[in-house]
Amino acid sequence: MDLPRRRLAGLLAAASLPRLIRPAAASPTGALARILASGELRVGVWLGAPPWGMRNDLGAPDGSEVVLAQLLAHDLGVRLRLLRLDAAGRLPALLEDRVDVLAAVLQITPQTLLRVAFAASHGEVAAVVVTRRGAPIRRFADLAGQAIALPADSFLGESVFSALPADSPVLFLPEMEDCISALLDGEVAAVAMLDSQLRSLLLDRPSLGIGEAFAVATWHHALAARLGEPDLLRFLNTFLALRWLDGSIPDIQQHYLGQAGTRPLVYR
Amino acid sequence: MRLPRRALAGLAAGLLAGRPARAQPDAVARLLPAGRLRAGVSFDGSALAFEALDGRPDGLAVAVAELLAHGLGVSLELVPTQGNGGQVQELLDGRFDLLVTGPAVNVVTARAVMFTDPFAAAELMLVAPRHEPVASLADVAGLRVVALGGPMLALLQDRPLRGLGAVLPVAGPTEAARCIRRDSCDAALLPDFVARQVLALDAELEPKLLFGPYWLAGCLPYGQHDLLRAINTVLYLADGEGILARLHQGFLNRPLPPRPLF
Repeated sequence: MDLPRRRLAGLLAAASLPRLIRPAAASPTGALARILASGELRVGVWLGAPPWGMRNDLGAPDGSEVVLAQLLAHDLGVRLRLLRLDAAGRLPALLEDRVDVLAAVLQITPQTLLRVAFAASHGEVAAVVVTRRGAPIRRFADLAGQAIALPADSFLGESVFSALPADSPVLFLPEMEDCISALLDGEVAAVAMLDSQLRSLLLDRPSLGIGEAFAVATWHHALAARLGEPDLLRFLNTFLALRWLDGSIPDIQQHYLGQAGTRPLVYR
Repeated sequence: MRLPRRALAGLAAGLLAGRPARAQPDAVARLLPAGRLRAGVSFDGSALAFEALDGRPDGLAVAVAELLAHGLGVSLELVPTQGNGGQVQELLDGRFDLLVTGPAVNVVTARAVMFTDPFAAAELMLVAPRHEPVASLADVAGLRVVALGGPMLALLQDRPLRGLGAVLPVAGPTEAARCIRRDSCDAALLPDFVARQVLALDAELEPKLLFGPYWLAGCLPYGQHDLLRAINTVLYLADGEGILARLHQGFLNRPLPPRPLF
């Protein structure tokens, strides 16, 4: 290219849009303004929810929601600060302004819908009942007094518990691994899992001899911001649409969930 | 379909007869205190915005601005932008309410302004001399590629274009064509409706690769969420009535793909 260097420098500078934009009265407001001004995006993640949030072999945060947060920070042109949260700590962290966005597989439910502003939903979570292969269980009634293991202190456990017949024996166990062991040891006839948890488990250990008996419920999940942040919400939805269209989000889902989901739902 | 310009102007005018119901006057006053929609337009001579033979403004973006003003129940003031890639800053400075010839929807520009829902789809065309053997993105490696400067370069962050490597900006399509003719560069990456102008002027050039679609949409300052919703509603209704599809076919000579909404 034999354009004069001075000319090139000028053109390249002009091509850098963020520098081109002068501060103006019409600049973003609220959380989006703070993120852009501080150069930092604070995202709350839940690392106890593989494959959406977990730690990799080196102990670093990983999972589809973590990678989505990294992509979001990249597209905002800011650095990412992850705040590790447990399931119960997600909403408080957002509402108390300790994070700007939750990328923590927060399900869209009546309990969450009036407390946060959800971006376009980019995924679904299904709760399924898992039994030993061949067990004649296709609905809750088939359990007929047999126990089901549920993970304690979890959205999954609470959601499935609320759907169970009133007299169902339930064994709450601390971790999902404990629930699986209880099923394999014959302590319970069934266990509740998320569909993607079951999928990854069977990919790792196909000879376990367990499988999905029936689905209990399906929820959409989405990135969440505080209510009253329309500028940030608009950016999130633009980001989700563009990254869906260019294949980034389907690739993340394929990598972590084993299949690409549907296009982010737009609420109108 | 390639309609003559005069026919297109008539088509656009005819389409306006069947516009969606107008907004309430008090709401209009709140959203647009000036009582009119001031739309920023870059009259670059492309199919988006050009001056017709009779001197009237025409083009897809102009027709969409007319459609929006009619749908909002206000008059339209077309504000020519001052060029030099500063349209977005002019919007933020308050020279107009809505930019209709802004950059294609991209995350870099979305840090500064809100995009409306798209009204058109463009493709990026890699134009090079006929003798240049370019059949895939891999063939572009090592070539000196130029693209229009300004916000369009933000699109180069898009995943399919990252394989292009370093792309240098030029001020306009004429400079891009001149650059190739003088062998200062090997290829130019241009919006398809601009590339067609370049191809028409230089028979030695031909289209090599197409990327996209890239979505063309209006730009609004952040904070204008009520106006955004009103505009998106007009666009939605116009899409449902087939008006956007007809404008797209008429001005860009190809169908409007299903629009992504966000």
